[in-house]
Amino acid sequence: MLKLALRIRRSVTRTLSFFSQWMAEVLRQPWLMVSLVLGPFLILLLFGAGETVGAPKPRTILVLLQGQSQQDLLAIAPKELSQYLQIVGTTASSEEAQALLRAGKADLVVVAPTDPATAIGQGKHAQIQVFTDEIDPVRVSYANAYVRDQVAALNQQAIQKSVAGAQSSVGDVRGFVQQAQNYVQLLQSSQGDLARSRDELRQLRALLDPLAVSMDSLASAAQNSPLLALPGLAQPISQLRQLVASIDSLKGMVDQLDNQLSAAGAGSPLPTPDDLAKIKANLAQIDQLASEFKAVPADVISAPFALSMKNVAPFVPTPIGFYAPAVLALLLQHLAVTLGALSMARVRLLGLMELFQTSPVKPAEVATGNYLAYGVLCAVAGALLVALLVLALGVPIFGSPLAFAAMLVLLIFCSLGMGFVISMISSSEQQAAQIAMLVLIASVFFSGFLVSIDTITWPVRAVSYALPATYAIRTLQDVMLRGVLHTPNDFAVLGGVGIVLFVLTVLLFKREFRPR
Amino acid sequence: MSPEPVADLAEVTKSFVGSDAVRDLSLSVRGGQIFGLIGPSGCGKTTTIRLLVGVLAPTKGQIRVMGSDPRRFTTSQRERIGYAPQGFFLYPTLTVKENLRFVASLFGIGWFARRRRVKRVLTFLELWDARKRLTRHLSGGMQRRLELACALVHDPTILFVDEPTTGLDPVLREKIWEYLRALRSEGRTVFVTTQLIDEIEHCDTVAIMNRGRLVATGSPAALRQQAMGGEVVEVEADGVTQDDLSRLRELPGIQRVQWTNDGALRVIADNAATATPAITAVLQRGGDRVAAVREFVPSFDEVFKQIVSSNA
Repeated sequence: MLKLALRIRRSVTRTLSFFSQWMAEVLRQPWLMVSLVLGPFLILLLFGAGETVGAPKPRTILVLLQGQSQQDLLAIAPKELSQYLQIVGTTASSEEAQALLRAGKADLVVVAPTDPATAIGQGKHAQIQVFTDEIDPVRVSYANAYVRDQVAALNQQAIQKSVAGAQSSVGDVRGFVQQAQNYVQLLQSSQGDLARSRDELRQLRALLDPLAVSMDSLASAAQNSPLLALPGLAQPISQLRQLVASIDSLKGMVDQLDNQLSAAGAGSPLPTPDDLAKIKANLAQIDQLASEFKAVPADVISAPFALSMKNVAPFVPTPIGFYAPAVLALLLQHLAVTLGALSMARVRLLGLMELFQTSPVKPAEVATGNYLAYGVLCAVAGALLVALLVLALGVPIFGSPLAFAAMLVLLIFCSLGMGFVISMISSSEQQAAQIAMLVLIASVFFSGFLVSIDTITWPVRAVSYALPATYAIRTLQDVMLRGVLHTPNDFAVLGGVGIVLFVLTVLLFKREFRPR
Repeated sequence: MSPEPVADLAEVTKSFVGSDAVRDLSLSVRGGQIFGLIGPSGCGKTTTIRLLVGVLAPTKGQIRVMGSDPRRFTTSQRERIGYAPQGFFLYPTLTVKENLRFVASLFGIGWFARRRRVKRVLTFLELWDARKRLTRHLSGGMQRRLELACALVHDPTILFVDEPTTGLDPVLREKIWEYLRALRSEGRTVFVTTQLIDEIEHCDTVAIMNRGRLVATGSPAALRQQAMGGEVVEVEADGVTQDDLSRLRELPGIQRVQWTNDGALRVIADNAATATPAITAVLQRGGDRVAAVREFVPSFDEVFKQIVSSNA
């Protein structure tokens, strides 16, 4: 029993020797810890200070070709475009604008359609041509989406203008109704006076003709509009049709009365009170329909759907806050992988391997000792960085601190194993450093740091799942920013991979210790 | 001196990529002595010492150290072995004391014992005053002593030291040998390699290697005898004739008589002490004027050259 206790004590002493040695080295280099912690913190701080949410308006040159009329209701006006684009110039030459685009003086060239009203009238699209000179595929996609969005807004504006125009035309109807009612009043008071009645009727008829033409063309335009297919728009369009029908009916009624008056002799009681009542009722209906049509808001007709998005996330972080968990995970992974990768390369370089081989220290003790030494260093660096993120940058930790700490420990454990394996399979310090750098680059692209791993297709996505940072980033983001744990299996995965890497490290140390 | 061998090599060969670094080497190292493995650079000394401590495995042959194959040393056997490899191997950013503590803890020495032993060994090797210096700031001599300290800190019974004096000035070399002799006097076995031939005299037993082979082994005196074919008596005399030489050759215990390049007469005898009066008498009887008859002790450089050339 005593012998066993002594053996255990000696094993612990041998294991801890690496920890003491490493701590002595680190304590001798306080700037090492400062740079490990402050470096990434300052980068994050600068990023937060410089990052703007969303992209700036693209610098745009608007090309208004000869023959384009700014009086056209559908003409594209620079003032309107400037809501979405930063108009840096207007020209009549598409070539000149494209030359400026190629020279980097603008991000977009927008060529406005020459005669949009005619094109639309012919049932064609009025083409807005957009040029860009972008090599970044992400920005090209962004430009496409952005321009599509802006064209949709222009379409909406065009419809809104048209509807407003129609409503303004309808607005004249009420004036007409007022005047027509006056004539009807005069008709009533001119009973028996045929000549005066016919004169009043002709006056009324003269008012109806231009109104009927105007309402007809409006109704025809509405009839052909694709907007008819949209739910909710059927009612105002049908009101417009009824209005046209009422005007037609009134016209018919007035014409009939006029005919009757022409045929009747003097003293005939024309129009009869019944006829006048009908005309009055018709006028009242026209007035009501016109009021209803005018009451429909033009912006609703032009944009029947309005976006109302609600983010149910408990907290929407700043850019710093959002990237902080990912930076933390990436930094700790890189630190652990690099330290692990360089550890044995350094031992080999110093010739310490012979000392280990001839001493009683066992491969498992060397592995455990190194895990402990480098693990504590990474944990201290991680804790200090977390403290800075929380206290100085206000990044929250909504979820369980235990889950948060456990994920950091597992990330360090797994990454160190990765580093030690790299170290043992590398033949030089340079090679080990290079592989560690490749792991970092792979992590930037595949771990979900830059782009969501959902956008990476299989089997390439397997690279993502081979990186400890992938699990850590999504878990830390959930725990810190959402306060939930969507992927509890990540703990088991990282733990399992960490154990496999530990066993592999011990086996590789054993191989290294073997006499050659 | 322990009669039992602490290390044995039987027909050991170690090959690296087709070439033999050590070939058919057979050696026996007895306990409690300084065993010197001597030979020119690249003759296989370091390979031999690395085979003995278990860093290398033999391609052929058998090695036993403390009764075991070094490849299968137990923990307790490793605790009894000290090894100072050639070249500096410690952490340059740690102090003398920190490095020594690290090595002591690798051998499982607990905190209290570690403090005691570190102090003792640093004092023994006169490094205590330099204990707080970073090892990268140490002189070459101090670095060699620190390596020796690392090999000694766990109190081993057998110490393997690879070229401890290479690159040091004569004063420091003498100091290192002093330490090694002190260790021997404590009953430890010291297996040391060197390419400095004159260091043979510090050893109790010497093995001379050349081109991976063992060419001679024995005490320094025995090697001299082996190299010269016996003990050498040098004669300074005038009028020595061929008859005198014939008479000298007929004396009992005389191996041969020869002239050196600088005109001196050398008589190789089994025993110089008993041969000297007889040689003097023969020459005087012949009427020669004898200026001096004395035992000649050849340098180890001469011994080495003689042995190597006779084994070429």
